Amino acid sequence: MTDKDRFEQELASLQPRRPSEELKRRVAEELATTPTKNGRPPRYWWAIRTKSILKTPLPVLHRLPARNYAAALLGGALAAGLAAVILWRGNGESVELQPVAALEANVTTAFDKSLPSIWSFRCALSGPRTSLDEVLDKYGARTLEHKAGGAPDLLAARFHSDLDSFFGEL
Amino acid sequence: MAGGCDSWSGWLDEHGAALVLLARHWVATQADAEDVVQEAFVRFWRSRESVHEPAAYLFSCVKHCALDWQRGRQRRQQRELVAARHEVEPLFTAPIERDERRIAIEAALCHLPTSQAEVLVMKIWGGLSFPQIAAALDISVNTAGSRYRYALAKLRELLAAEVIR
Repeated sequence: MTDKDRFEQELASLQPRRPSEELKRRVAEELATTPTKNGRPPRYWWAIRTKSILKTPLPVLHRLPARNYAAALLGGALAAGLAAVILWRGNGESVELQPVAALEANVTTAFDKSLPSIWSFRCALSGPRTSLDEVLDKYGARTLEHKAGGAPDLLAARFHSDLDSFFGEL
Repeated sequence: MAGGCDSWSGWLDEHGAALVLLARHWVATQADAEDVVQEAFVRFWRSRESVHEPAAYLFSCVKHCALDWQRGRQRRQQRELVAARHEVEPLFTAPIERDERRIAIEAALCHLPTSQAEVLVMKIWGGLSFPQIAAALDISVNTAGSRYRYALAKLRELLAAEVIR
């Protein structure tokens, strides 16, 4: 055995002072209870967090077979293409609206002020018999004109029913 | 072998004394050294599975935590206060008949350059191999070996000078 070996043995025979039991207790406390020190996050908390996220198994959705992803992509592409075609073809088209003038003409005819009103008939009844005949003649003549001009039958029928109910009251 | 134990208390029992001794090279008191070891050990234990040489990593953690500790302003003031009181806590335990020699070795150890002293502590009292020391200090194995030899030579020289004196 050389001097060097003996010297190494002498050094190794010296025992470093053992740490106190308090150290063990504190380490146990820190490892068991809190993941952070003194309420603060560890210095490299982001690295620990990233590592834990990477180690976390992926959700079931992400483990679907590749053909499902392909089908979803194909369906999406088809839907997008269809929408594009519909929009492109619909660009030159316009909705044909019914001319407003024709509708107005029918309404005007239905509510023609030249026709005798209910009030005219009332006045004619209270007057001489000839006045009632005049009103009836006027009404008959205008009704014939409306039929010839294509006035709506519905409005005419409505007017006739009003007139009949008026005569019924009398 | 170092690092053969699975529980944290086994690791602390096996390496605790050497870790505190290593920390004492940068920290003045035993209590402060234990604080450093506590912080380093918790850090080590939480990330030990990601390293190839856990024992080397543990010693490396202690060194870095001790350097962090040393940088603290408040702790530096505390260290200066302790130094002013000339309170010297022993590094080793030895029988009373060898107390004089123990004091001489401790004094010589404190005069070693840090780069040599840390290799000596890891090798003799930590039980690490040269490859492990190289991994812990991020140096080559040859450098670790040569630092160890220089440390022994310097220590013997210092002790011889002490004896002559």
